[in-house]
Parts: sequence; structure tokens; C-alpha cells
Amino acid sequence: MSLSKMKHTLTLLMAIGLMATTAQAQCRAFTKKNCMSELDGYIQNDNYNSAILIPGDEAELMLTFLAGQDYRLVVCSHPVLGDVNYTIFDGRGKNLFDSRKSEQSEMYVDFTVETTQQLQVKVQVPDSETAIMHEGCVTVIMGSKS
Amino acid sequence: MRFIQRTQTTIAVLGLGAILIAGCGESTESKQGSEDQAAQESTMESEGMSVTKRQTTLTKIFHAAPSPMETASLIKRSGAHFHPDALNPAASSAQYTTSDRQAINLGIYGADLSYATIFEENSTCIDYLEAIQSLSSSLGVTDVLNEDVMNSVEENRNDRQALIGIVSETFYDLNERLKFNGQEDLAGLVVASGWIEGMYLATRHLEEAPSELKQRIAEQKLTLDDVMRLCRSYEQTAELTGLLNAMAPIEAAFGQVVTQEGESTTNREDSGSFVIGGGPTYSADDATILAIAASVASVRNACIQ
Repeated sequence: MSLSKMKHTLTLLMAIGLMATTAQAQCRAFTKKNCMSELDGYIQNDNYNSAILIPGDEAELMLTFLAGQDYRLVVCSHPVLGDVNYTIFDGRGKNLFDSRKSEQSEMYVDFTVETTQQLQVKVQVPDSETAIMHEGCVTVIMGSKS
Repeated sequence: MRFIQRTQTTIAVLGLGAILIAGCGESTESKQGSEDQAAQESTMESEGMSVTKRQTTLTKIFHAAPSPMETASLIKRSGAHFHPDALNPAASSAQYTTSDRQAINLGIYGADLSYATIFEENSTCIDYLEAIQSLSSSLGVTDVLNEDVMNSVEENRNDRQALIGIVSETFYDLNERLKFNGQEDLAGLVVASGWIEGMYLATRHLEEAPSELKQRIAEQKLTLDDVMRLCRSYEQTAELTGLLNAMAPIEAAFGQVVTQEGESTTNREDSGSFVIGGGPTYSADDATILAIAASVASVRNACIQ
């Protein structure tokens, strides 16, 4: 490979890397501005879980919830993705909560567990029929209080 | 060939242009301030989205583990007392000079800080925040525990809830920053060592521990599973692999915890929140609890060396 070709390839890779970094930086900023306030009154979990998703994508999270604590699970997504749905399953795969059937705010659900257990959260970005498909930030955050 | 090179250069220039636009966006917005609300709203709308080039869908797997603050809360709720002699002294922070030791002890100090905060030992909190500030700076994360945050801690030193909020936000920001900086392995070390220290503090003075605390310790079999899954999802550096391997005796001790499966139920309260009842239960005899305590202490004492 010639020196010139190597230089251009390197520049291209750097540009792609920087674009990805910018998208991640925007996702962080989006989360800070639009999602974190939903945890007011709760102690936020330390884990940063955000991703840039497109229509039809899914996200999954398994986490242990401790007995006697009150929890708030927030699924926060950019409006361009439409109505992002989420479902909570127990360790045996039993459906415990479906945001599509909830009368509560669609963005979060409050719950308590009587016994310590692992729950699985599945997030689904709806499909899109539009010609130009957008990607957007999706963040899953948890808070607790006792 | 020339066409390909020009295309590559055009994409590179566009990419760099996007960075410059994004980088300059905040200062432009702050200059205009409230005088240009429409421009701010436009920025809000475009932030966190763009036209995608990806055609195939995927399933993103997130990993998480309960925070040391949750572990400290369950220690306090079970009726245990604060034991300052169980903490890793904040003054030891200067002895950690390599990035892996700094990350490990950042997690250790995070758990100590959470424990002190939950038990309202506010002057102890300040010492640990300073140690954490020093270690995070050494790891290249200088803007999380900045002067504003430290001033806020000082102003709220007698407000437990405010301190809990600051500490939680600080560790969320540290986790986010390490991941963003491409240091997921260090983020893994922080999470794993934070869990180890939380368990170490929970298993001190077991002779005075109420049965509820022993029950809560047995249940940490699940949080250990969360931590191992989270850390194994990261790039396996020698340091991260080393710590996970060192935790094998802890996994073995938790292997003796007895699980009884149960059906989960859900009930909705008037407040709108759900109560998830039933589910599995976990129990451990005294020998198992002591084996857990001994294996945790062994790994933890190696971590703080």
C-alpha cells in the first residue's frame, strides 16, 4: 500500500471514529438533559446504559433488585424513534409488566420487590415505514430508595 | 483511484466538520442564552438523533449491577452498626500508583464512601471524596469531582439526602466517563471492587449480625452474578481477568447458598406502583455465611495492598 493511500485510509478511519464519538457524546448529553430528572427523589444506579438504536432494534438488561427497596426504572428515548416499548420479565420468563398496557407514564415504572430477584427488561423500538430512517438515543436507568 | 481518494477525503472533512459543529454548539447556545429560545429547542430536538446508515437491526445487551449505595442501605436497614475500622483508610490513596490499582481502589473507596454516607458519617465522607477525587484525576477523569461538586459537598455536609445524591451522581458520571474514554476495563475493575468492598462491610462483625442481614448476604449470590456478567462483557485485560479469577473462591462459597424457586406475582397499589411478590428465596447456613465472609475478606485485603 502506498504512503498516500495509507494516509487517506487513516484519515477516513479517524473521521469515522470521530463521528461515532460525536454520536455517543450527543447521546450522553441527551441523557443528562432529558432523562436524569425522571429519577428525582431516587438514588440513581451507577451504571450508564445508553445506545444509539434504529427502528426495529431491541435492548435487553438483566439486573438484581433487592427486597424491600422501592425502584424506578426509566426507559428514555429520543422522540424520533416513536413509542419505544418495554417489558419486565421474572427469572422464569413470566411477563410482569408491559408498558403498552400501562396507565402510568410510559417513560418509567415504579415497583417494589418482596424478595430479592433478577428481572429482565426488554426494550423494543417500533418499526418505521418512512423512507428516511433515523437513529436515536435510548437510555435505561434505574433508581432506588428505601 | 483519485476519485476514491477524493471521496475518502470528502467523508473525512464532513466528519471533522460535524465534530467542529458539535463542539461549537454549546458555546453558541450559551452566548445566545434565553434570548434565542427557538434555537435552543432546535438543538434539543436534534441532539441524540440523526439519519441512520445502518440497515440491519440488532439487540443491544446492557449490563448493570446494584450500586454500593444499595448494598450500604441494606446493611443499615438490617440493624447493623457503622464500623469505621473496617474501611480502607482514605490516607492510603497515594500508595496506588498504577491505573489498575487506582481503579480497584476507586471502587473500594466508592463503597466506603457510600457506607459512610448512608450512616451519616459526614466528615468521613469528605475524606473519602477527596481520596476519590485524587484517584479519578490520576485515571484522567478530572471533571467529575470538580471544584463545583466539592463546594456543593461542603455546603451540604449536614444534609444526608443531598450527599447521597451527589455521591450517586458522581459514580454514575465516573462510570459514564470511563466507558466514553474507552476504559471499560477500568470501569469493570471499579464495579467489581466496589461490590467486593460492599460485601466486606456487610460481613464484618457477623457475630452481632441479625438474621435479616445473613439473609441479605445470601441473596447477594444474584448480585455477584450481575457483577461477573457485567465485567465479562468488557474487554478482558490481564488486570480485569486477574481480579475475576481471584473472585473464584467467592463464587464457590456462594455456590452453597440454597435457592428455592417460587412463582412471581404482581399487584398494583393505589399510588400506581407495582409490588412484585413471590419469586425465588435464598438461604444459607452459618458455615456458608462464614465461608462467604472469609473468601470476600481474602480478596478485599489483596485489593487494598
